[in-house]
Amino acid sequence: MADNIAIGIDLGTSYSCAAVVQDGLPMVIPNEWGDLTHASVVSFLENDSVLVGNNAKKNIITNSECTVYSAKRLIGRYYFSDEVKKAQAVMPYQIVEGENNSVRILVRDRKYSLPEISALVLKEVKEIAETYLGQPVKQAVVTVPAYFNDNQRQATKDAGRIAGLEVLRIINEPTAAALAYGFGKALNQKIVVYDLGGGTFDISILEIGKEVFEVLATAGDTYLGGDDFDDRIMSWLAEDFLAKTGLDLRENKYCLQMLKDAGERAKIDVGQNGTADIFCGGICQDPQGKVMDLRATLKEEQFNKMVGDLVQRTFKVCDEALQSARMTASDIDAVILVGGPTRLPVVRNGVKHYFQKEPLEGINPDQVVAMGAALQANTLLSAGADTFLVDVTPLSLRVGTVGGYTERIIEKNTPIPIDKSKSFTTSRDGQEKVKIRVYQGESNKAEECEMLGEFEFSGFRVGYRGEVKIDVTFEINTDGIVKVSATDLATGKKTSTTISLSSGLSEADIQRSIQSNQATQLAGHADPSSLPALPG
Amino acid sequence: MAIPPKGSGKPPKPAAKPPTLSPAAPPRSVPGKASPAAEPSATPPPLPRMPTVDPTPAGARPATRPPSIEAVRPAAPTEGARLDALLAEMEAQDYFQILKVQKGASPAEIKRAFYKGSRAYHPDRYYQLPDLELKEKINLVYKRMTEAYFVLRDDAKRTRYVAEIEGPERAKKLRFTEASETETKIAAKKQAEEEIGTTPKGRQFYAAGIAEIEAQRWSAAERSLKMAVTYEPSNARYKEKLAEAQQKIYEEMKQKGEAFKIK
Repeated sequence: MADNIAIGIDLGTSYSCAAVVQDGLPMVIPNEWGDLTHASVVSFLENDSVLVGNNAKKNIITNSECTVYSAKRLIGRYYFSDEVKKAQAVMPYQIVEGENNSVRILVRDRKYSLPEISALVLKEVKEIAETYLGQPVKQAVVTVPAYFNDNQRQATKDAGRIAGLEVLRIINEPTAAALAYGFGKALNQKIVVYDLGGGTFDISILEIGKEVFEVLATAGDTYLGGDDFDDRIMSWLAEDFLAKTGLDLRENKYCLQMLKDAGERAKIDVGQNGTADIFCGGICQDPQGKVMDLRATLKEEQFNKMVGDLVQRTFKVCDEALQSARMTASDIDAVILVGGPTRLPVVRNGVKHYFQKEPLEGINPDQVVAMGAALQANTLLSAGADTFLVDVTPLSLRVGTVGGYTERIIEKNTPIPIDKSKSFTTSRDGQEKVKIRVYQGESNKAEECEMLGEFEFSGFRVGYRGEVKIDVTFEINTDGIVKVSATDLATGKKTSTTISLSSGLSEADIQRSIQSNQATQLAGHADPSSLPALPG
Repeated sequence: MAIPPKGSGKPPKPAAKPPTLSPAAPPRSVPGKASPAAEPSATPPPLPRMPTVDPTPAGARPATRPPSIEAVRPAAPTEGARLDALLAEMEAQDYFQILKVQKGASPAEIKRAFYKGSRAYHPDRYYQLPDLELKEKINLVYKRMTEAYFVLRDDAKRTRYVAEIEGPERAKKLRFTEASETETKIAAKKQAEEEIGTTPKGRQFYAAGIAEIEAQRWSAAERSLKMAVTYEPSNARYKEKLAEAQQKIYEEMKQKGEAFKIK
């Protein structure tokens, strides 16, 4: 086997999956129990060890305060964002504020950043791959939702580094799915990837040829996913219980977790069998101390009504993407479904109706993204490979201007890599530095966009106002990550500073995290280095 | 246009006063490598169609030389020089020249040309290249290609770009700068206003005037349109229609006059 090997990792909101290319074909890596997908759940145990994956998922109920799940919903977000507030209300673990408006998770008196949590998931996946392949894995391609902004991409890349992986490339999940579908098939099609994951929804429209995979447009909603379907069932169950017994299950985080678990199972049952019998034994006690059970039956029709508006919301996003690509639904040759919730008949039928086309069969919606990522990893490792991806940036890049407004620099759906320059000048005599705020979003109002960062450029020639000209270059690289650099052209001197807008973790933070990640013992694995030391 | 977006909102902070020279030529400003070679090409280019001075034109031999790292690696220094030359050349080229297509190329041809360029310069193909500087140069070349493709594949952008590079300021307009959003919005608003008017009375008279024009009652049209213009003196569209009606009246008068003239 080749001495350097790179895997593809689909780091999902609820489940993660890894794949590797062997003999030119991508295959999903199973763990020692044969599971192909691994819950993105991290449970901190009392003995300082950490349990990750499907076993950790069981702890969501029993060890709820120390078990972190759906971390992807929070990664790369600011503490003041809506998503964080929403998470605080429903998550049993403690979400606290860190430096620079970042989000931290407090577990057993230790604060973890989101990249550190995701790094533990990646570490688990890495160890699964290492066990399976029998060799160390140091490189990976990691996928992110296409609609992730720069902060979220950076944070994901940091997570990879913390887990001891060299992240060769960050690629978009729908693009990876398209790659897995079209690789080596010499197709010539326009396809749609409809990716409804646990926490995010993405749609990408691609034109695929023999060697080119060109994304024509992408759109998404990072606040919409399978979890929202579960929420609907939960609310219904809770309301029903409240009406019957006068007890609100949502007030207790333990009950809430049981409800969530029941909601998720009911969703899957309804999808498979058209009906779900819900039973939560001993979910709570009434004031007299009598133990109560929760029983309900959910019919498909009822469920479809509950989530109908969520499904419709995805089609609004589809409209947007088709419009950007200047196409109509009838121009599409094939529809690929990605993500667990696309197994639900209500979603499948909706998609079929919208695109007037039967979605492709025979593609595993949980694994296709990881397989595409593995193919891309393989492409990058092999010299002179013959496929290439032309992806786009999902969001417009903007600079802040006076009065809380922004000015667009790079339009959304622009192919990457790309750069654009803009000239700036000083506004005061003798000004020594300029400050540039960078945003991503579609509104010209700064507050409606996501701020990526603020960077200060100094060290240019000091002169009268308007006399000093500074050229600022905004670059989006092949990872979709933004780089901003400034050059003073007036003097002819290239005093340029390149600042990658960071994810709230400084380089020192990352180094510290790498150390602690390496020291962390993942439970449930025999650490190869510790094997000989075990008492015989 | 007097909508200079300023760099920062808060007064105490040193504010950057940005795009005052809005669609001014953004001089090639990627920090770093490309510059020394880039200087000589700053002169306005009276270049003919395809200035292929380049020994290996981009994508001309896609399958053979550029994509193979093995081929690139030993030849690294010359490869670097070649890329420098190419980058310098690109400074003076318009997007059609960068993609090596004719000015009248169809969208399909542009796509094909871009794919051809991608085959030769896509960074994925050089991922394993140990020479970072060379890799960066390839990246720079490729970024220009995506930029060219982005503008030329869009009809509206392409039309504007072609008009710009055929104008007198060609050298400055080689890199497409989008009209700022605010400007576009103001222009669109102005157009909409002119079309539908800003006052109810003006709108009413204008509609009446148009109806009269259609019925070819020119003097009635003139009266209505004159009223409309009184309500909205700055509406160019109203004035235009008024002039049209007056022209017709003049012509009719002339015709009548001729008819009465005794030959």
